[in-house]
Amino acid sequence: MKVRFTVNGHAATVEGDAEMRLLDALRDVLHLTGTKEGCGEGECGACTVLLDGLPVNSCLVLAAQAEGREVLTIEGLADGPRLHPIQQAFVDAGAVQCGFCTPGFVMSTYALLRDHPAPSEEEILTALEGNLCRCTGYVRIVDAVKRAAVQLAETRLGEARARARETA
Amino acid sequence: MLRYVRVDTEAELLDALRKDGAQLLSGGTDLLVKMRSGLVRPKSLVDPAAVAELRGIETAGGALRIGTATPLSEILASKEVRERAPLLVDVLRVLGCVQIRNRGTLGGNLANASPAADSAIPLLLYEANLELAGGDGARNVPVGGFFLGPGRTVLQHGEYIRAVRIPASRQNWIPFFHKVGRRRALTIAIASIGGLAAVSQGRATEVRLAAGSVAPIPLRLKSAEEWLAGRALDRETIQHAGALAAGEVSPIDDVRATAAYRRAVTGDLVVRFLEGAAAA
Amino acid sequence: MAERESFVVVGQSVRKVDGVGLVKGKPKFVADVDLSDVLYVKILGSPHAHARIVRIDSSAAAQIPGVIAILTYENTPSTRHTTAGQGYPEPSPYDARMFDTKVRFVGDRVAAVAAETEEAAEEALRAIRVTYEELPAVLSIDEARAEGAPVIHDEGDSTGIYEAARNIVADVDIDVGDVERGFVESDVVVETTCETQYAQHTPIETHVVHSYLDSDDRLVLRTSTQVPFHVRRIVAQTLGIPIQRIRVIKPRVGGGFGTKQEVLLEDIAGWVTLRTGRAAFLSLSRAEEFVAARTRHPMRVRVKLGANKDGVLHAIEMEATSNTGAYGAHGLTVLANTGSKTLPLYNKAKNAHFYGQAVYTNLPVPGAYRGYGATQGYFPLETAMDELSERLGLDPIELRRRNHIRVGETSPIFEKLGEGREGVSQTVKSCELERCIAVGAERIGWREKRGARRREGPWVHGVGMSIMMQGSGIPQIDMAAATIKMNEDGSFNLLVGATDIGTGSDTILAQIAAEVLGVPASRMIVTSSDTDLTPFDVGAYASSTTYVSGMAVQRAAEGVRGQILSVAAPMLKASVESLRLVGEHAVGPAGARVSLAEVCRRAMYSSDQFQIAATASCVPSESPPPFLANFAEVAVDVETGRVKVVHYVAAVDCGVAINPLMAEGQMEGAIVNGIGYALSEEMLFSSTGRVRNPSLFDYKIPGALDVPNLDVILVGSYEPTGPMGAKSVGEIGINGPIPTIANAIYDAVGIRLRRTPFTPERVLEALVCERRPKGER
Repeated sequence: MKVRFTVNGHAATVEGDAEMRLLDALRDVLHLTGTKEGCGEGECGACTVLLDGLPVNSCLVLAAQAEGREVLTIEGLADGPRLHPIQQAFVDAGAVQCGFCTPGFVMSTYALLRDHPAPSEEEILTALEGNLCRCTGYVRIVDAVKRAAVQLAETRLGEARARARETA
Repeated sequence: MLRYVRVDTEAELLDALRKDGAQLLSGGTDLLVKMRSGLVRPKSLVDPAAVAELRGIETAGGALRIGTATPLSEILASKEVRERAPLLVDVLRVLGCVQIRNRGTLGGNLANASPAADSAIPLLLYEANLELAGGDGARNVPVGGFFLGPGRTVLQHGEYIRAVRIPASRQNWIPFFHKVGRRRALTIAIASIGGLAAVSQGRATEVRLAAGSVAPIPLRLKSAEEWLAGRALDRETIQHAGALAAGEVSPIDDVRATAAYRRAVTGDLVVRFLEGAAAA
Repeated sequence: MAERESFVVVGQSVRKVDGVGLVKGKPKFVADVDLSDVLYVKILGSPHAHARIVRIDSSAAAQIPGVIAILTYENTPSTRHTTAGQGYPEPSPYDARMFDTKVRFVGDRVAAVAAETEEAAEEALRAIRVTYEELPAVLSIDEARAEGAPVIHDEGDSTGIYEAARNIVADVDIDVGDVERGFVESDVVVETTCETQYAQHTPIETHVVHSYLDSDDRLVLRTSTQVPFHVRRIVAQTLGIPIQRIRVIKPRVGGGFGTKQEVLLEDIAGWVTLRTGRAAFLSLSRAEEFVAARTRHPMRVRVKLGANKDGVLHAIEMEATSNTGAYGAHGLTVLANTGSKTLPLYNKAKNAHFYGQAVYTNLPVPGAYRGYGATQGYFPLETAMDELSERLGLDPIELRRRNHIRVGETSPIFEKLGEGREGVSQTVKSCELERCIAVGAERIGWREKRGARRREGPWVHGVGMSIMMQGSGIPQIDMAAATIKMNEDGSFNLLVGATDIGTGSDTILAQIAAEVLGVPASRMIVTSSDTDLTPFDVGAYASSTTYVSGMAVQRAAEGVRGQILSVAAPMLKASVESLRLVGEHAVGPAGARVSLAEVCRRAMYSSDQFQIAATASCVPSESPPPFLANFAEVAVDVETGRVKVVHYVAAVDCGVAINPLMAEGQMEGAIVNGIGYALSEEMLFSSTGRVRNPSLFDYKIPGALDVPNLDVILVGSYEPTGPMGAKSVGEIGINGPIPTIANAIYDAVGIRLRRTPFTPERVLEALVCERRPKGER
């Protein structure tokens, strides 16, 4: 069967059988290998992508279920050579060790900070509860989320000021 | 070879589910795992995500109707649900994780009929009804009468849950939910206990108790409830209610804990709830 | 301190050199390449814990469309070897074959299929008919040691097994002084026995290998490994082909923690590729990883301590029985480390005895796991110290202060007990344990909280502590080498066999080289590891990378530095001795300077031309221990038995931290892994030896919500034998949580837990036992 959806802003068509998971469509067909498979059972979150803006485990979504929808993966975040502030915060905070779980954490963080620009500690932990990391002990990851929130807030403030200046 | 069938209307849904080997694909968070490990081998997966009757949250006075294909995260975010069924929100908040809640549904969680189905606890306590639909028409079944055993329900071939109806109930319930697991996040319960209590001047007007993972199905703890009705919540009454609750469950030994532990914790948590309610 | 230099790059938390690519999700891991032309390989696991294979009928499987090769004992090499990636000759027995005529645990290799698709490979596995002759299975250390127990390795051709007929893989027995007399002479004697469970590493990336032939028909193995050079040697040995014909490439690795210090898949993938000429891809599913990858050695360890009234230890005895599962990989060395990494800590005891055996069982195979035996040893040792402090009426901190090893001191254990053989004598040259204890106690609020038993509803709080040491590499055995070559823009290639598995070693090694060469770490282009390109290194294990590989890098950098200065001296018309390398320049005495790019261009293109490059090696003569003081505040729910770690403080002395952020990260990761090991992680087995919880659903590793308030404090010291004063810090943190939490639980509710993990159920059971009047027990 053929499935059409949008990936990182671009139209994509994948062909495969009904069992094909969104994860397989991304990795094997579209060669977007930033999304990882850690368990195939929805426990580790390494395969987290955003489906119509919501974090999901792409190992628990059939490719067919993405028909007509929008998918955002880790490859869709950076603006050319410039890292997304969340990605930059993960590097700066030391939140990356082996890096295998990192794309999933970054995607979960992306959804969190879009909905909660200034999250509480509890909100951060809850947003990350579906992502497992075995290297870091999570301390630096939580730190990265906080740094990213601050950075994004500063960017927004800067943009608002620039707009205000333009109108003035 | 497996087929994926997306349906847009209930008529199409009924039709598709009638086929041999057809399986309703709700959130897929349990089903796809079972399929990959070879536990189930459906011939077709019927995706009802686009069927309007199965989606959304409606209110009528104090009552709620939740379409079974509504993602859990949508229910969790609903102000209406929070006002009318706060305990449901408390439970969904610790069901799975963000990624699971964005896909998982009440219909899937219930139809799965796991003894550990967390969402059943508040629905049992609120005495919700399930709107079932199938080839022979629609029928309403109380949640308490839905489960038959692990993985077994009253659903007939071709039948599905259309919606969950939660009737209006007291405003002054004292709610309780506690899940014992090995860790905080994404944990399947070793035992979970929920309760609603209406207390007036130290006396229990009405108490409802429900437990998960401690019997073949999630269940209400009726003998403890009956014992408590109208009684003053003193130490002895509470201890006795705990003992009754522990006696009412029929847990098993499994990879998560032993039956003995589950029984003990059931009693202890009922006591904890009642002590809190008495002090409130 | 006089010998402490003022570093520019070392000691800075520079960004991870591979961090940007990783956060962008660049294709860095084994499975991230185009796999459209590969043969998918799947392994058939044994359904029986112990059985002889009578017959394998793969005729039906071979007929399945897309099936290209079926591997069994009948058509693969039968060389006995060990899967343990250790220095050669390995201290582990040669008791494994690619495919054997006997299976020894549920999940043991029976056959493998290579097919055009995963589905065809899986279908073929189901179609293989195997006739087994079931044998009685051995499912515990007691059963293994029982009189007349079934013999698990009854084959005649295995070597290196201590006593195969009695299922004993290894036996270690060392004495210092006279321990029996020591106990008689002691004023107080305590004894405790603790048991640890089957637990798994669970890296988020499972084992995975991609193999192919290059254009010269050499076998290339791109594999997720901690030990690329050992993989090359062991695959050559197993498949019977020359080392020269194999190239092992380690791309980024998605976590290892010891489980990838084994050769579990490369032989099969390599054989498929050699036989078919096709690329092959083999990765373990999460369920297969749980069953067929490696675990920590479960152990029963008894510790007996004798002390004088003044609180000074007089005798220590440790007896360990280790379950090494169906094969003996790391059996001897993990067992030896249970004593060698723990007992020297308390060197005041004049009399010591360590005795241990590792036994075979028909259960999954333990191997190397961060902590490597020390984790299992510290549980009873630090529990016994807590009990002893109570008997003596001494604060646990004070008891440890009176007994722990200090600078300038040694322990006879260092010499008597090493990596499966005699050890290496050494004196401790850096140890800030005293300060670690003081800082940690202050941070946790020891004085206010110890014994206070604060209550909050059903939760009762308590605090506990423990101290420990580990090592830095395997002295006089392990070797690391590094090559640095210079490019004409002033950048450098740093080629290391040292294996970054997520630990950040590429970054800290770049920092060490950059420090010597007077450049920022970003000027180092790091390649790790590729057996065709990078010099030898034993790999990432035994806390060796910072200390051993780091020293090799420092020496290589010093070599390059010398060459740079020799080129720059005539350019600056100054003597070599008068020059310094600062800010990417060679700087003369009067401030005259020449850029490194100019230096390299001269050497490369103009006069007295040569490649500025150097290779250096390091075989350490000792293994300086990092030291750690752990403190935990826990809360115990006395109704459900749940234990919550509220606050955890780890004050560690790892010498100079080359990269403080990364050193802290190593500690944090190890501690949280250790907390999971202490509280929730446990592999469970059916009565027939099958793993009952082979999924992350039922085997719970900690998530973000499970992490306590966690303080890691780097207490600086300077290790004179280390690169830039550094010691290693990769493993030590994982040893802390079990004894620290156990001691804190005792402080809170008065129960001594001697079996891990401390599940709600075990805690509640102990509480109920404790509450019951004495007569009823």
